[in-house]
Amino acid sequence: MVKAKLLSCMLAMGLCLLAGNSFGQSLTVLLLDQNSEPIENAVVEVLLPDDLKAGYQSSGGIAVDQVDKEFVPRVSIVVAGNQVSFPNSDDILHHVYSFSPINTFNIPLYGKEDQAQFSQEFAQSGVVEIGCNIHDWMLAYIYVAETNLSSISNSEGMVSLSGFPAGSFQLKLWHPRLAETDNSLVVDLELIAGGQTELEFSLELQRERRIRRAPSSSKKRYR
Amino acid sequence: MASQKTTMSFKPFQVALALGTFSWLPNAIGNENYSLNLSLGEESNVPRGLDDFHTLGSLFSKVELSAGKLVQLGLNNSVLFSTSLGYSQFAELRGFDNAEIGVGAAFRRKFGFGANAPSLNISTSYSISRFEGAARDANSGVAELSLSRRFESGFSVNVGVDYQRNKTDLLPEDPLVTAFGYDPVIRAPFELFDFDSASVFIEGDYTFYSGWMMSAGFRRINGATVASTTAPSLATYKISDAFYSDPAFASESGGNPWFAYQLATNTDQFSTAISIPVLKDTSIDIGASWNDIRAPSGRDYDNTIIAVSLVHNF
Repeated sequence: MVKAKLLSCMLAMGLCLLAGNSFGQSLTVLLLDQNSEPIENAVVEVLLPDDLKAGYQSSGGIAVDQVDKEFVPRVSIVVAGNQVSFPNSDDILHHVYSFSPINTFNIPLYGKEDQAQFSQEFAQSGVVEIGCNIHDWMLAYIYVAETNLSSISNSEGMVSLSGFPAGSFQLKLWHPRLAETDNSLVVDLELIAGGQTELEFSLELQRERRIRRAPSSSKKRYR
Repeated sequence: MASQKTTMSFKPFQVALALGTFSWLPNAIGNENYSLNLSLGEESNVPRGLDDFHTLGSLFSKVELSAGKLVQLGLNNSVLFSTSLGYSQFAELRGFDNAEIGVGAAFRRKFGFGANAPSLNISTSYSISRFEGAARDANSGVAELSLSRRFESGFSVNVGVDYQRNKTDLLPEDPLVTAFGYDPVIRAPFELFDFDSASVFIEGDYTFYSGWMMSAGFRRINGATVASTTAPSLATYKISDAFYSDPAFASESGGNPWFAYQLATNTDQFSTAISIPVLKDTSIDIGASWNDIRAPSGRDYDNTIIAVSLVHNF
């Protein structure tokens, strides 16, 4: 089901003059679905042991905006302990909520003028699904990462990470439609000092059934 | 059939009510929404004829504009105020062309947050429909109570009851009806659309992975139907709750005049539709409804409506 193919490793080893530089590693991941189409909006995170995490906490808050009755971006990453703000760029009101166990919250109806005060701390790592209580189709995911060694795949299914130590770690892949427990997959990862690692994964995605935004004819009384 | 002089009109206060609501809505506190619905369809039995001769079908077109204002009352309660303007035109039966204006308010109590939270809906609406002839005009008030629940992102159900009160203005003496010479003691009222009805209903919809949504519903209506005939009989007259010359056929020259009569009926309405999203806020719907109308003395009427609609939310 999951094929992890190490395309090439250590391409840059010979170029790295500072052999043993423990922070020169880079990682490129290509994510494809079962139809060999690139997977966008997947999260790739390098999981570090507890004693190394402290050095990779630097980050800042992020914003998940509401534009034309959709959350923008649909998938975002925040490092645990940071704030996420929920501005409202629409001319209408929204009501943001989360049922996710790691962060349950509710920001009652607010508009463009009120947006500054609405932010939420995300202390615990995991995935938080947010919605709008007024517009049922609005849906977004906030991936709360353990460290800042994480990124989101682009439209070509590519993720690039750099600046982490060499060693044996784990790589976590997450996507809202990934056909795995908790929509995530963890694989072992060996990062060699000064090396450039390229990985390619073929993942199975489930079909998506979202709540419809498009209207339908209202039923009229017959007489 | 030739068209006739248009006589449909609204009283100034009725127009003022609709336009006043329309203009007030954008200034209220809450979310606005505007919707356009364009429909083309065919109705198999517009005059609710009993036999083949009186069963007349027609293509129709309809345009409806509506505006709504959602006002949030606390975390779980909201009220949607709305107003609508509509016009229907029948290609072969122009006498059934009509205009309608309406206002409404719908209270929603959501039991929890999120898309899957069940909700209690209480709504009331008032609409005024005007035809080319006062006998088919009606002022209609509807109160509805329903419970709705989304069981997963693709499947939701709505069940409820409603009550409708139709009221029409008093009509002048109809010389054609008087000419029957029936006993004045049994003379039926003239007001065709003066009746009450109540219904129970269940509706469900299912959204496929493609975004196409299939809906189906059933409604049992205990109320009345206005049927038309060129061959009124004493038997028909006796079971009618109202009787009057049918203005929808007033332009007919030659042949027998048409009469419209109101019968107490039970109607079973089955409806289904497939809704195809074509843009983010636009859909094309293809729908049909079958109406089995049962009247006293074993009179059964059928009517089938098929329509293709373009629905757009602004």
